[in-house]
Amino acid sequence: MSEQAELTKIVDHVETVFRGKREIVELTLTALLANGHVLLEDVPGVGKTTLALALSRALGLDFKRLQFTSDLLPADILGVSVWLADTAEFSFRPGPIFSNVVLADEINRTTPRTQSALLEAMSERRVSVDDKTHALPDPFLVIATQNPLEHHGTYPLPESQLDRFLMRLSVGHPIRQVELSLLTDRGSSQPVDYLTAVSDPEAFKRLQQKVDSVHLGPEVAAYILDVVTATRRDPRIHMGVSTRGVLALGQACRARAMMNGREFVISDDARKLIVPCLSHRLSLTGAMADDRATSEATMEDIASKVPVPA
Amino acid sequence: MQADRLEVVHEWSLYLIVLLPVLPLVGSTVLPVVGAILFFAALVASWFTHRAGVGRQIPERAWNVVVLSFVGLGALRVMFTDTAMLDTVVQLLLILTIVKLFGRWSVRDELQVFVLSLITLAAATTLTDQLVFGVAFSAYVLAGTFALAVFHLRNEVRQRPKISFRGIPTLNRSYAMVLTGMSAVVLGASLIVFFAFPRIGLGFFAPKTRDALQMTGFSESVELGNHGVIRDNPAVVIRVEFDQRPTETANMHWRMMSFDNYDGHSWSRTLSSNKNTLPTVERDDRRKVIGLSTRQARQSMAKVYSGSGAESHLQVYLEPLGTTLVPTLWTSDSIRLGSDTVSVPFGPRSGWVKSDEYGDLHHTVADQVGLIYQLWAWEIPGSMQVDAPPRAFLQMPDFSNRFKPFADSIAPGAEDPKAIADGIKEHLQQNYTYTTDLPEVGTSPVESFLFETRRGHCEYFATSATLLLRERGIPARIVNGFLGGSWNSVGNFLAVRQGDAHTWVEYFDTKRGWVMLDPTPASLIDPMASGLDTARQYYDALTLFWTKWIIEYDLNSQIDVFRRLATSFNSPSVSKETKPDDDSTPEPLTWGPWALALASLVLGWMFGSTMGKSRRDVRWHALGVILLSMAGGATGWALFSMSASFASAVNVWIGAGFAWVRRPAVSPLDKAWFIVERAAKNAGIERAMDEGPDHFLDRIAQWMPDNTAQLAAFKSKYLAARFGAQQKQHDLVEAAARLAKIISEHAKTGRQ
Repeated sequence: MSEQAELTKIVDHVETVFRGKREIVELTLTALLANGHVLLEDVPGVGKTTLALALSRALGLDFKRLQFTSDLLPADILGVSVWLADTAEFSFRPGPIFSNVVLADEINRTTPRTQSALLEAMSERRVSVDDKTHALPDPFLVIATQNPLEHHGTYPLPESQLDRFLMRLSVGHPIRQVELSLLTDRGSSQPVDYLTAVSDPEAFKRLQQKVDSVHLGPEVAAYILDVVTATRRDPRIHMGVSTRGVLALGQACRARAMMNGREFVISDDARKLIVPCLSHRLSLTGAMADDRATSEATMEDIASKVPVPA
Repeated sequence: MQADRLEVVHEWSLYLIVLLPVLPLVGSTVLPVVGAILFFAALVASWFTHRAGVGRQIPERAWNVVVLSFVGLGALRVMFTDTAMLDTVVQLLLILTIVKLFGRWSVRDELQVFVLSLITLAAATTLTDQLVFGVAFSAYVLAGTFALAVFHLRNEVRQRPKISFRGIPTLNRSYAMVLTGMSAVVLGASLIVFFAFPRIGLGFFAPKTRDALQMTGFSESVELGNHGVIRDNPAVVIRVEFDQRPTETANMHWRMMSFDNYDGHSWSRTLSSNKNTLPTVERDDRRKVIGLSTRQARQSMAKVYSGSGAESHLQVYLEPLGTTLVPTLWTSDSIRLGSDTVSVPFGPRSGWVKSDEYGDLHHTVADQVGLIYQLWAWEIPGSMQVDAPPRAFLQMPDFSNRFKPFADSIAPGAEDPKAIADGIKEHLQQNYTYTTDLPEVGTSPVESFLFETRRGHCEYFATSATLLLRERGIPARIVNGFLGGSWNSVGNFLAVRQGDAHTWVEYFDTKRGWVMLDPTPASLIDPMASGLDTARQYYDALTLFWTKWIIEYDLNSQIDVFRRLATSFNSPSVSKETKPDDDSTPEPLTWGPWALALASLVLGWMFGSTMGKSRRDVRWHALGVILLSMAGGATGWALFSMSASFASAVNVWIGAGFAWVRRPAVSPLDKAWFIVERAAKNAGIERAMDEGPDHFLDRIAQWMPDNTAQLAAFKSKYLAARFGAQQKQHDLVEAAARLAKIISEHAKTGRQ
């Protein structure tokens, strides 16, 4: 079975429980393939948990959910060393982060200290507790969520931390037909808890490794750099996209090319992924600086003025 | 010595300037042959009188008398005869020129001669639009620049010999070379202005732009007994371009006018002259663009003809005939005024097509203007039923009692109109002979022809057949028009001449509608000097070129030219692949002729410059060689642009050369993409600046869902070649060209 067919099967499978948002499923899977993390910025109740759970079930990965609160401590996430009396030594009790898919709910509710513990683990893919380093499972995907409407008592993620997410997505409300069928077909539809795996972690790891072999030619690379340069020159933007952002976009493009059954990246891939991959990396000037809609519109505007190689 | 030579050159150029605008007028009403001889004689005389210095001895009063008497005479002629005012004015201009040439002793007189010649040229513009004028005009631009410069130099030398010159300026070689070059540049620039300056077409300004041909061939009346010389008239009436060269042109009947009433000697029309505008063809796309009634729309001729089979498309250029009749090919399906590139919805050039009770077509465009229109002709004529014809098509003249038994004796007992018609045709063709050398006929030409002389031309055959058909109760009419035409292989068009005028019959068959019947013995018709000499073909092709690109040249043609140019520049060798099958990509202008002209110029220069003896000498023979080679190059350009085979061969070489030179710039991959992108753009799908190729091709695929397989194949190949690691690029261009064809075809069918 080709990679494309394999991945399409996964997306189809997830779609049976997370309906009407195929694009979001594909983008999330793309991020996962590219070994990146996803920030979902959305109001509660649109199925963020369902998406994360369904994806992990379908891939046969284990899943943990972390509800972030202001009193959550790093140890609550990473794990602690406890004294075992019978063996007379410290033993590491891994925290909930030791899981393939971690849903970090309302990440902006917790303190910067806890946030940075999570984010560090995200980029390092290992956890250091008491001078001991524990590798996180592979594959490892964090899906963090933020509620864009509640600002009271939140700690917004700083730019440097946002940069660690490969994509920022927004699920949005499903369309009327989908909601209608959700209401009426409740009995017949398959609950996410019983979703069977259509793949296994080993297979998925192979897919992730194959992403690196996808060819990204000089033309697409030049295009990506054109867009990035444009963000660095735009007066609306305080600080443009970082080199980390460039690399992230390139990797996401490779993953998308693979999802579409290609062995090479085309300019369409980059054009499609520019907004989800780069918009949260812009630090805008002005009052609407941390508004998702504004940054996405700005990114789209910049991208629409850069000629795409055809 | 040097100054003498300057004087000679100046003299020659002055006379050339005087002569050039007059040449196209020779033979016209302005300057009849006698007048022309007088004018040239006066020119020659003035040359010698000026040389001899006797010009001064003629008193100025004598000239005044000449001029004033001519003015008086001219005024009288304009008032009391139908001489045109403009003709008289131009004649006066010529006389003034002669007077000035005789009595010139100052620089000012010579300047006036220049001005007079310029005015004459301007006047000639309104008087003639023949090809000769175009040649004279170009020559005038070339010679004018040269002559004025020489004139100026001579004046400087003569009037201020010592002032502020380091040396006396002389007409040496480099000076002459620069002058020649400058003249060429001026001509080139004026050509560019002519072709590039936005124009709104002649249609707005000139209701009468072209002289109507003398109507000796086709005529709006048929009178037996006055036929004979017309078969020799070689003037071309209709020029027809076909999409594909037709295999058979000899049997093409160009129908113009029909008659119902025969009084024993001549045919006339008795039905009402009401004309109805032909209905617009529903699927015509041009109408929507213009949004105006039926002007310049494609009009259906279903009421007139019927037919079936494949349609062929014809582009017709009709010379001004002084009639509003429109020749149509038997049988046509629909007609549209204008051409694919030229359409004039306003002004005297615009109009629509109407049909009368006889099924003859009339246009509403001014009848002194040449008409350009397109025809769609049926492959198989007559298979549908049309309205039964009026009784008028059964009218009979008074004949002796010999006629009816004779009519009944042909195909006796037959009822079917087709059987009777074929019988009559066979009988006439077997027992009668075709001749234009008419014998004496009696009071009833038809009966003389049928029973006594048994010889006659097409009018006799057609008239007899019509009347015989009517005698048997079959409605029939006689039709005037043109038959056949000769193929011009230089310009690839069909030329129908005055001498091709012909008369035939149409009879009404209840099952088929009107059916064409040509009873004249076909094999005996001399097809107008079948071996037309090549020179005439070249001349005629040039005339069509002149009509198309100079006389009828307007904004639309301009746009067309620039689209072609753009195509040429964009993709020098793409043209070869897309040319035959992609309508939306205009045919690029050929490179060959340009290169030829340039090469001949360079060669001429090199050849000429080796011929001089010393550096300081003016090498007149060298100059002559250069000018001659330029003229040759220009003529070659005009000719080769028409002789398709040679030009395309040159084009392929040049194109290959360009492809080689520009290899790094336009890869086959880029070319393939441009082809598809352009085809899509022509079809209305334009790629946004920030649209990736994948998305763009998907969008095309959505628009033409029947060809997704083709598109998908191209897409995967193209994307792999463009962005993949191994770039396999061969055959992509071909695939792209195929795809472009599909896209443009889909655009056409989709619009219908």
